[in-house]
Amino acid sequence: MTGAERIVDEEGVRCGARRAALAALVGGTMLAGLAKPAAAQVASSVDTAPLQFALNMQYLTTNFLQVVTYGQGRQLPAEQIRGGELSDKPGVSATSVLPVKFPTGVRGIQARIREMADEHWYRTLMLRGVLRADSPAQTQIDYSAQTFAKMFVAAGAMAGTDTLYLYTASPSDPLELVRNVLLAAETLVSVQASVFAALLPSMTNEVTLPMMASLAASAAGNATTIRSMLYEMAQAKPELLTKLDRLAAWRDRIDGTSTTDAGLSPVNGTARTAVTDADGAYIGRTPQQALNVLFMSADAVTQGGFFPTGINGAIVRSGKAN
Amino acid sequence: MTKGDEIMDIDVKGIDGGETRRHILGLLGGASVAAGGLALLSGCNDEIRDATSIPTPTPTATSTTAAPGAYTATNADWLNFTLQLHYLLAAYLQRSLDGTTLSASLTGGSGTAGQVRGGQAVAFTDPVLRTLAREVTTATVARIGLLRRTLGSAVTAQPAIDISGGQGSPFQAIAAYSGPNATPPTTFFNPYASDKDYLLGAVALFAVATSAIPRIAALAGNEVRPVLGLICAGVAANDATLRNALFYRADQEPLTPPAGEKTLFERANIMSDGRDQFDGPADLDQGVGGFAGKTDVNANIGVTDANSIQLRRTPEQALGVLYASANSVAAGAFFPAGINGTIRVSGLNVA
Repeated sequence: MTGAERIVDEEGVRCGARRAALAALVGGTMLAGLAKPAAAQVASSVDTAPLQFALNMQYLTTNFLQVVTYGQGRQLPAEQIRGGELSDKPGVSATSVLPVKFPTGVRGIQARIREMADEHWYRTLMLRGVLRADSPAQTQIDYSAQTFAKMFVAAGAMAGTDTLYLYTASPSDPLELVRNVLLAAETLVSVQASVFAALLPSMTNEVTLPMMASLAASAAGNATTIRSMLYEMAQAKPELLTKLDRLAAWRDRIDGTSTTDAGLSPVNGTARTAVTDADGAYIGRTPQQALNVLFMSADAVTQGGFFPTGINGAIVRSGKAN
Repeated sequence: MTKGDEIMDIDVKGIDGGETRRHILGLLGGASVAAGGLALLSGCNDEIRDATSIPTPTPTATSTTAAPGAYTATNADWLNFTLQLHYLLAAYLQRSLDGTTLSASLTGGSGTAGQVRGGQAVAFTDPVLRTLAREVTTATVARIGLLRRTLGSAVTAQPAIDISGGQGSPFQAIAAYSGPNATPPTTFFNPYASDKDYLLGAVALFAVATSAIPRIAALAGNEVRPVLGLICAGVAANDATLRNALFYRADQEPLTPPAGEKTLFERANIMSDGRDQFDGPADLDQGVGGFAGKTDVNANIGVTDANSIQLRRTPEQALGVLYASANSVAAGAFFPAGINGTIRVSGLNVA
């Protein structure tokens, strides 16, 4: 099958969600029959809390990728950010992310961002289909250039006096915008990928287990795709490598002592497009560590950074980094 | 019920496209299947191609068939299958990078040990690609060390591996659709011939590993699920590096190739079809994108299902590709003597 044959129509969306919802329903019936604990209904299983967190990570990436590539109005709509029946509250639309007018000559990068934007959209629907009544409502997400700049400055990836050209073009360098969009996307998608990679052991349900394994594989692939694009662009702009090195080092610092990230500069002639450890395994984060990065705090807090009012679900607090 | 029974009665591909009917039957019939009855599933063999659903494959006159083992996989079995896939990846990557093979300290274990045959160092013209090749090779070899440490005394040996290219080679066997209606090839795939050929070969082997390991990570027991989850994502990340490198080069090519040649996008699609002919009727493989009109391009880095998550192959489907056989066999193509371990027979994957 060719890329052009990918399912991207609305029917595909509905089918995917319907299938997942049906699977969840039928899965619950079977599990009850086998008398497994805490599985009378999937919506209240022990898998719920990590899946709710995963959905928050999907809200974070989907809105950003969709709007920067397709434009205003492509934020997740009200019905796809609303809390499920158990919370029954509306979501907060992501209005702070802005469309990006890409310069000519970067169609290969635009195409890959577009592919990821589509993928993240469907994955969000998939998780909502599985969680159903337990879906947390989307909270306020601050995608403003100022918020990203705050992180870039904290990481030493830009000077506090400089402007971060994230949604508007730099007057001196058309490609600066593209590089910054990729750096911003890398932050969000890399954090998501590290969480998903480590989430598999939290799954117990026979439907969510393979879903999470495939989701982790795809998220790791997406993070690597963004880092691959940055690596391509860095060939003409080597300081881009240093920028990502510093952002990764900052993420690694703020979420505790364990190593959770990797820079992009090659080591001994070996590229580092994938965030893997010395064993070739992907480097995971706990949800709490991810919140340290996304709340931009080394302390145990419930809001900050990209989430000024925190997130919904059962996991809402960052870890106390050492 | 034992962990093994759980493995056998749940169709973990249920959320993939095209298998919903069987999926629901499988879930509804969970208890009865666990009790030993496969009746509910038996009418659905059109969609399932693994050991679970096809206890007795139909032998054919044209190939040596073997029964896909009705195995109950242990954690060690899942890890060993992952290790066997990695032996092949490492053999190709190392040979391509510098002509070497795995050191002896990384190849021993139970089963029938074998050597790597064929292949040669690629004369990379792009130094950036060489840094990427080093990254993927290093990570893959490192995972072999991790898998072997995790397995301990249960580790299986590297089997005989054939990574040769050209006419009659394993790579040619999966390079294009070769069924009854195929046009006989006039050129033969040699993955060691150029930067682009190297990437096509690497993407071919990683496509199999990346689709096989998520299912294994999901089915394995709690004790090894954390490490398999991270290995699963690590393999997918390496795969993405290679697919991006391939896409990047395909996107640089002119819209119209020289007379008699094909674009890199087209070649990737043809090779995807080559793999897909050995793993059953479902389309489980994809190219990396294509030109869209005269000025735009579409990307397909992720090989995903209708939910936009990584497609999965069963071990029996993965072995179908690597043995280059849609019939159930115990050896072939890249593994002339088969692989080592409990999981070693390909499924009846006739499309």
